[in-house]
Amino acid sequence: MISDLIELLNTEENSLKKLDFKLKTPRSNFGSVYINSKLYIAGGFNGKEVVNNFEYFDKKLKTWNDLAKMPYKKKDFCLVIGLNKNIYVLGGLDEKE
Amino acid sequence: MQQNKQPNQQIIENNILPLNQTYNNLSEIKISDLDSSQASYLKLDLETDFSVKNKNTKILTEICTLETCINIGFDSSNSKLIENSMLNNTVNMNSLYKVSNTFILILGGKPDGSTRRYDFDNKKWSENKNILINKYDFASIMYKEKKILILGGKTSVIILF
Repeated sequence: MISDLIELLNTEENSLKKLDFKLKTPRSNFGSVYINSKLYIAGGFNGKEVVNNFEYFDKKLKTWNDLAKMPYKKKDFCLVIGLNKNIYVLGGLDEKE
Repeated sequence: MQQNKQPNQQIIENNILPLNQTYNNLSEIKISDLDSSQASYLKLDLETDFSVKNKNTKILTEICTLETCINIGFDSSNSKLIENSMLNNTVNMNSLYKVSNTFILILGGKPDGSTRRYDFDNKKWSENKNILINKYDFASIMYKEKKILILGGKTSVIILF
C-alpha cells in the first residue's frame, strides 16, 4: 500500500509522530530535497504507474504547489541541490524497469 | 584472485592521500596534510555548500568516519570487525543519518522496517525499538539538526519475529 503520510522523527527525543499535513498524492520511490523552507518532491510511483510530477510544499504557507513536470517519468533516482540552487535528477528507473 | 582492499588502501593507491604519512584511521587525515589538488578533491564542494569555510577538518572527519562505517558493513574482508552486525540481514536500507558524533541511524527499509543504530564507541549495531518506521521505498530528509521527515513510501512490510 502506498502511503501519503509525513512523519517527523526527532532523534533527540527518540520519537516518531505523524504530522497534520500529507503528501499531495500517495507516493513511493520518489526524490525529495529541502531548501529555503520548501520541501520539493519529484517523480516516484503512485501505486499504479511511475509519474513525472514535480511539486513543493511551502512550510510557511502550508500549501502544496505544482511545478513543471519532469520530461521523463522516473522513480528510484537521486534528487540533489546544486551549488547554483538548481535541483538535479540523477539516474533512476523509467516506466518499463 | 582479486584481493579485497581496505578503504584506506584504495584511497592511497588512487593517489589521493600523501604517501609520506601513516594513518591508523581515516579520521586522522587533515586537509592541511594534503597538497592543493588532493585537498580540492577531498573537500568536494561541501565547503561552499554548507558555509563552513573554517571547519575543513571537521567535514573531512565526518566523511571519513561515515565511509569507514559503511565499508565495515559491506566489505566481506572487514566483516570480522563487526561483533554484532545488524546489516547482514538487511536487504534494503532507505536512509542513513549521522545524527550525533557517537552513532548513526539507518531508518526503515526491508525486511522488517526497523531502525538500526551503530555506536562508534563500542562498534556495535543495535535495534531501536522506539523508532519503527515500518515502511520502505519512502523518502526522508533531515531538514534541521536532529529532525528528520519521513515521507510516503510503501507500508506492506513483512514483520519478522
